[in-house]
Amino acid sequence: MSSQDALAEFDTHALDITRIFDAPRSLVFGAFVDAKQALQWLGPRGFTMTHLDWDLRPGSAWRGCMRANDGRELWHGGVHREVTPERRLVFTFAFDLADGRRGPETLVTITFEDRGSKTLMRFHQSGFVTPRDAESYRAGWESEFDQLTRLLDRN
Amino acid sequence: MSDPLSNVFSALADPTRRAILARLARGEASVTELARPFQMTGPGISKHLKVLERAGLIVRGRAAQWRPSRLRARPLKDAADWLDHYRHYWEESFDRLDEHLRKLQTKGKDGE
Repeated sequence: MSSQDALAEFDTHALDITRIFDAPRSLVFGAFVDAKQALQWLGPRGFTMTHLDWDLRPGSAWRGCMRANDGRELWHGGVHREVTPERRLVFTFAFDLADGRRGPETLVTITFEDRGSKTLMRFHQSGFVTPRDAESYRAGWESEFDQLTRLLDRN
Repeated sequence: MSDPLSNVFSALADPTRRAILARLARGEASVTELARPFQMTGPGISKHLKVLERAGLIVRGRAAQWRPSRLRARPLKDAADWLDHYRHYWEESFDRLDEHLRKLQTKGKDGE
């Protein structure tokens, strides 16, 4: 086996979410790009977004903070890479780690398409190194991977 | 001391180190055995092993000549859990966005 084949193993994993919102594309896109609106819906339940610097010019940094019910604050942010009005947003995203350094960098791509009067949103976040979940790997590496999975499951 | 998880992530960022882990998932191996498929020198592999050891992803035997490396799975699992955090973050955000859009449109109609 060449080293190239060996290195092709352990791909980075990605998160994909597809949603249809019952609203026209302009409205959905607006909810993403308007910081005042994003503050209202961004973040999981149990958290309140307390801060959002969200200037969508490509190349500009964004920064957010959400506070958990227990008062813990989670800062996160990234850089806007691409903004195509009402069609596409690309930005990097990383959470700050406990020591203040940036956590693992990820890349988010969101696209918007009309579905009649509704909007289809495709969300894609990549850059995770999660060997456990990698779905595609080359022939010859299956056994290694199965063993790794078993090891991980055992823990 | 730096955060253990960020050490794990920077260790995993390198494709050679990920391939080394894949090999170690099959069982422990010496530096020579690990170097073979990568056409790398012993010192080159040792450098990678040091990074993996610091991240807690492997443990190395103490015998001077034969220092087999062994995989530790726990930190890998913690790294994989990050994906779940993000899924949670976005799925719930989009639920709230759905409600937000509904409210916006109701308001719009009321104003007409």
